[in-house]
Amino acid sequence: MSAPPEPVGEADLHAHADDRLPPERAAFVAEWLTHHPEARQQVALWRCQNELIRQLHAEPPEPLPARLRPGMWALGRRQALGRLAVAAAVGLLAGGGAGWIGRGLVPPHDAEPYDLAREAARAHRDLAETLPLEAGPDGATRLLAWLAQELGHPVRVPDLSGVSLRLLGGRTVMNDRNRKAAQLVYEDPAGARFTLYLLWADWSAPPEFRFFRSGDVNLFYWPEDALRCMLMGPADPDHLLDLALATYDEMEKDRHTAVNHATP
Amino acid sequence: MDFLTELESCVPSLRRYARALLRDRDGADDLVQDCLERALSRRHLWRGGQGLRPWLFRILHNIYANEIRRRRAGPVFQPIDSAGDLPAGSDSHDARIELREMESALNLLPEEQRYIVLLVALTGLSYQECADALGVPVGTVMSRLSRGREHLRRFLAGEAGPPLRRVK
Repeated sequence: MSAPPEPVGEADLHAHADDRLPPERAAFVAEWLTHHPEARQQVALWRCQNELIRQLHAEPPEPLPARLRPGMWALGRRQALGRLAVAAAVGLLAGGGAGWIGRGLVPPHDAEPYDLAREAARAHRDLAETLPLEAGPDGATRLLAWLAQELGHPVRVPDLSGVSLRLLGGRTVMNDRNRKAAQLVYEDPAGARFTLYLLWADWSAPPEFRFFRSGDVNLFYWPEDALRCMLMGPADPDHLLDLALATYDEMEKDRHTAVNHATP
Repeated sequence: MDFLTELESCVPSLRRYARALLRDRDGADDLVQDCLERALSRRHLWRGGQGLRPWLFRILHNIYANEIRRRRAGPVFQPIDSAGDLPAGSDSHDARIELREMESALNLLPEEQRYIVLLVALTGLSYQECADALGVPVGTVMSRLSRGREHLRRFLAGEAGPPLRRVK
């Protein structure tokens, strides 16, 4: 036979208001409160205080800056991005669904990546109707010069032959906010088109990787300081992640020559 | 879960508490970053198992109490009209006033009562963990919580002009 429950004391009332009681005790206290209106009022008041304090200090969910993410400190930048990307892809796979899905470590109210991803996906779809500038033999160099002239600053075209993506060409695209983006077009051995959409913004964004899906096209977004990069194509998230990391590595190589980081 | 992942999972609540303590977002992020760096450098002192969160709060608290508060020896004045800073969503006029009054009431609480009231409301730490974080016995936590809540009640009810004291 179990001992009779302890009488209800003030500590119980605080703990009840704070939801810190084990369920059994909480039930007992709740029952006790039905016969003790004064204590009930007291508990309600404390709960109300807690609620106000929480509202007062409620933070809209926002991504943690890199400096508050110790998991990132120990990793190289690439690993950190890879880890984020895996988290993002896992989020997507768990979520499923169709249409536009943005999954990442940041909430949807942070609209910039979302808007950019829409632009990039639209530009990707438009490709069916527009032929990009041919790269041709030695075309990468010419393409580079042409893009640099169009954009008013140098661009480096990442060589993705290491992951079997052949450069087909590129063009510039005017986005909704009247900024010119570069769109580079690649083809895999099966003839599927992949595009890398590059846009130069006015501010640096913290490192993050985000995953979007539009129809049968998947898209990875990541910023590189002021540059926003989006790689998309008809690949499953795992494969696209490999391609995106390869792209990231190629661009990282170019970082040393700093060409991709010139601001317009 | 490895240490870093676990560390990171505590950051949102550390940050919330630091912001409530400091009422200054950048300063709060600095405080949390200091705390994380210190935790990493003292990782060998952490014995594993449960209790990482109270340990982190304790580090954060020590930095706050020993360094920041001391630096802020002079009074810090709250802006008279801070309604603009209040969280969105409290759109009804009465709700905003209520929040503003709670903000002032919290600022009037003696520091050690404010710590407890905020820890309990914002972090989800158990009373024992709060006690560990502050380095006091759990009985002290309970009595400060009780007195803090009574103070809040009286300030909010407009009873007993609160003792005029500087906001530290």
